[in-house]
Amino acid sequence: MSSVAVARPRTRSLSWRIHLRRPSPVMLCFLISLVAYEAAAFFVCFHGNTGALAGDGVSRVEIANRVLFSRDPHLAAIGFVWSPIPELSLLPLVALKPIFPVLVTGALAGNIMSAVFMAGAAAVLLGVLTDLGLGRGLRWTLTAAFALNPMIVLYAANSMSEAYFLFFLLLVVRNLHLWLRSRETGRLVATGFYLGFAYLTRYEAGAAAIAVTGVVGLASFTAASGGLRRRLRPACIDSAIALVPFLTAFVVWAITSWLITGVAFQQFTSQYGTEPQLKAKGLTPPSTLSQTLHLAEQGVHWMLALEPLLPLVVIACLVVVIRRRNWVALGGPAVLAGVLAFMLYVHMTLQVLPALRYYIAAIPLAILLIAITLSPRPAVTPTPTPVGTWPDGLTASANARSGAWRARLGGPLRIATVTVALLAMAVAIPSAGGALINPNIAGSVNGPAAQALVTFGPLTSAEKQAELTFVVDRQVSVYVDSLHLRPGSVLIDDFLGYVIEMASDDPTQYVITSDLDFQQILADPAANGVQYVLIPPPIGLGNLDAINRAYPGAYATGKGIGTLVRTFIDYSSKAINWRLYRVAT
Amino acid sequence: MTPGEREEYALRESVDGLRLRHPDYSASRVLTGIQWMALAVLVGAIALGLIFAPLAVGLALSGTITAVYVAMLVRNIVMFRRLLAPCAGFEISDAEARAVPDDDLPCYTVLVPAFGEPEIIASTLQAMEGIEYPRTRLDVKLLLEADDRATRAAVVAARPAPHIEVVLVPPAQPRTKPKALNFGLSSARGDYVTIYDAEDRPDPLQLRRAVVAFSRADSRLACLQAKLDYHNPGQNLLTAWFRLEYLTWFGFTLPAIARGDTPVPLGGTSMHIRTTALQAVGAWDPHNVTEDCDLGVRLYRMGYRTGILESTTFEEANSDLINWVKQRSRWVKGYAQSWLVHMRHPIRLWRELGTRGFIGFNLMVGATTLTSVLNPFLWTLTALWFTLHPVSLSSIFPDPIYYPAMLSLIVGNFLGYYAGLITLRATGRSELLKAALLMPLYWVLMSLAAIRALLQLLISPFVWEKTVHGLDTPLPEPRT
Repeated sequence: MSSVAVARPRTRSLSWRIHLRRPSPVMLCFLISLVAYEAAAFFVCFHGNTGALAGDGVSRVEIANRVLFSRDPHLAAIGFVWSPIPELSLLPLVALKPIFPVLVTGALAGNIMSAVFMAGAAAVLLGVLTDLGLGRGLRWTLTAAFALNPMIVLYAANSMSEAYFLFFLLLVVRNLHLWLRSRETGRLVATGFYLGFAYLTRYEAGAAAIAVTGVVGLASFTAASGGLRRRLRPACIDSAIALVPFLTAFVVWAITSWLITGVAFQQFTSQYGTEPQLKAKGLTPPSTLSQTLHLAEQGVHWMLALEPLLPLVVIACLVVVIRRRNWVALGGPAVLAGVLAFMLYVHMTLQVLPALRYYIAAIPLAILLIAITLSPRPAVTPTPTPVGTWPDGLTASANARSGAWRARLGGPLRIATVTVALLAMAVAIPSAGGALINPNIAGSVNGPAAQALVTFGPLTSAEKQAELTFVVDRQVSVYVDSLHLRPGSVLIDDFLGYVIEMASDDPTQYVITSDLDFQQILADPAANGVQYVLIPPPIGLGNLDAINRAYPGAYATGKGIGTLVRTFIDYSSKAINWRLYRVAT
Repeated sequence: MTPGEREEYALRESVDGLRLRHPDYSASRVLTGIQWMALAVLVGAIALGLIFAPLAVGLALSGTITAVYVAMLVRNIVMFRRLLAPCAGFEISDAEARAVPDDDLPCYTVLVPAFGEPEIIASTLQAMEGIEYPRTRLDVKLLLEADDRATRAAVVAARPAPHIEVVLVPPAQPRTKPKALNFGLSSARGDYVTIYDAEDRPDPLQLRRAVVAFSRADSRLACLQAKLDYHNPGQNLLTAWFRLEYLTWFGFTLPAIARGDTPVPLGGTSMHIRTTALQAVGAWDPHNVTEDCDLGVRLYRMGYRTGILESTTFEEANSDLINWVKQRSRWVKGYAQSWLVHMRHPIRLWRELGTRGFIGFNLMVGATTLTSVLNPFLWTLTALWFTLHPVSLSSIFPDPIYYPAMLSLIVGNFLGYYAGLITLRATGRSELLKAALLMPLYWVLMSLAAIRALLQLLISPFVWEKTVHGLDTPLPEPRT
């Protein structure tokens, strides 16, 4: 057979030398923030008895723990009430539990990961500020104003999902802004993807999705030419590109939930969901307008506690934007404002347990508005990134002119807006710090940890009591471990008892709610080899406990279960006095 | 040699040339002896396993199939990234194309096979006469079957220009387009060869662009594939889907493949090949119903390379569903044939293509066929699982197989759907929005066609189902 002797295409030779390059500013910001936040994470975990932790944060570590180490390890134990990404990201760290038990027993894994994502959020913010054209000094100052905000530091360190959410939300903001300037499809695709991921970290991303769709549709519509119909089509396509990943995440998650649990939207209908929790705590949705307005006022008050000058900054930013006719700059803030508006709405209608952390998006929003106010006038249209670049949210693009903002001062209006912006930047940190310590605003959820981070001072007696949270759970865990039971011996609903299982040396001895045969065992514990049952008192959230629901009166008298072995007294403010019952055979 | 003897020799060459000289490359046999044995062993093993160890067989099947799908998914992700960074092919401007003086242009052979096309042959001739190339250096051969009286009569009636030669291919089995092409090639005078179908309307400067592109490239570049598009996309949903698919394929996928280290499956027309290279690799395989894909792989195996030419030929998109299914079945059948032919000596193939090329070939030609055939079965299984949760199904899909399979189902379909939307935006063809949103229905159709193809391969491998042309809506009468 005749064949032409040709050289085969050269295979790329692998270079084994590691090229050390100077890290980009965004990467540098990430590394610095990471070190700082990890320090805070360790501090929050180990300061004061490891009790100073937010319940939701600890719960996430327990979820990852039960997926891997429970009696019935399976991925679906992730649960469908919350979005999956925070728990999934903990799996690799929790898998190291045999080597470092404190990752789970002290819930350290959660703190470590939330610190990583919040550092990422700070880095992305630096990227956004760079894109806006701010000088180097100013953009690092503003990033520091964000990163050092006590609220941000606390939520970097306490394993809550706000860190994950802010990370993806800021990526959405950044790519949306870049798309608005360059109209390059790759950026829109990136926005869509990050929006989808944001949904998988917190459901509030739905509000962001609506805002993004509105901004994208409007921008596309106004940019197109021709009649109404002709302009509508590109607007539809662009909105579809931005929305399809989010919708996919939404539908797939709902279908998965429906497949495994039979319910598509657990966050709304679950027995442990928000509505029953509110009821259990004695909170009812507002029925009169004055009640609604009172709640709205509370929400606004909390938002302003974090960012006191936010309304003024909004006005200053609008003034600047209108003067320059630089409408695209409003795209990013619109997304964050949309999320905040949604949170205010659910607060007003009491569809969630009101909490200060729902307004955390106000902090990056204020920073963004300040940045726009202080940004130099864009002299030339920035060159769009070439089509060949894969959108990478962590790479800073665009050139920034350094120290140019001083030269832009001109005119009283300019002086006024700049002053407002600088004041807002200065005031935010002390205000947020004060808000966190204020029990009326922050509640007792983060009390001791916040106090520790903000003041480094000694705790008051009330805070000391709050710090005793989970102490009794650990005592229960130690006691049960000392009984050396075989797997499947202790029945417990991990809705409230998650720390008990988490702190245990042998999680397989517990039958927990996520086990596939939980309902069957709950119906007849004795027949399924269960020897003990742990029950919380039927007050407040304890009413939602599965055992209390299945066996009313069991806590008081052991009715339907067996005999009381021990009561564990909880001296924290939560006062969950666990009772251990021996199952009657 | 008398003309009659010459003709008979040429015919025998067309039909048996490749089969006799390079039997390993000919699809005249569907399976070689070794392949038959391998198939028998596989079928036997499965049959025995089903009797003695059904669970193991089930696991092996589900594991292997999932692995194939995951490999496809990885490749699709890589392709998706390339979607956002499209690589351009050879771009030759109009001025550059016209800059070459006529005397410097080489002789160019244009083969136009036509069978049973009396309605449109007039417009075919018009399109060929519109090619901007000196007629003295143009060797246009209209390839008609000798017993196709209707088309022959229509050609005579249309009075073709003198430089268009009508070549009558003597009737012989297999009645395929590549056999006709080989016959036309035997009397070709040009340094370069290209093919146009009867319904094609090529860019008039395409030949000139090809000449310039070839002159710029090294001798290894033996083939340039121009882009195909449709001139009737607005006709119905099917044509819109077709157009979207072509846009993605020629606009993004094919240029990315050409840049990588994998063989390039050619399109059915508008590929421009150096005659010497074409003859060296054995020309077309008359027994393969997708001779273009097969040729593309064979060129690569023998050391030649293919590039993309930024020039468009407009075709007619199939507006009739049955017609479309037949055409699609033929493509799938041909891909299966090509895969079987080139995998006769896998080690040799691997050495010739390199690891990347080997994997790329298997995924592109083999796995695409396999997955499009398997898709309906797997979709049914998934629906069954979602509704009934049969234990038998869960036992052959343990976690390590279940989760990757689910992942490839979700992410794979999502990427395919999303890629359609992005193609729309990147090419600016917003009128195809409805088609893009309804893509999943198109995939169902493709799978049905694939199943039909598989059955055909088993029953009648060489039947070439002629695609009916002339179904596009006629142009409206000009108003006076």
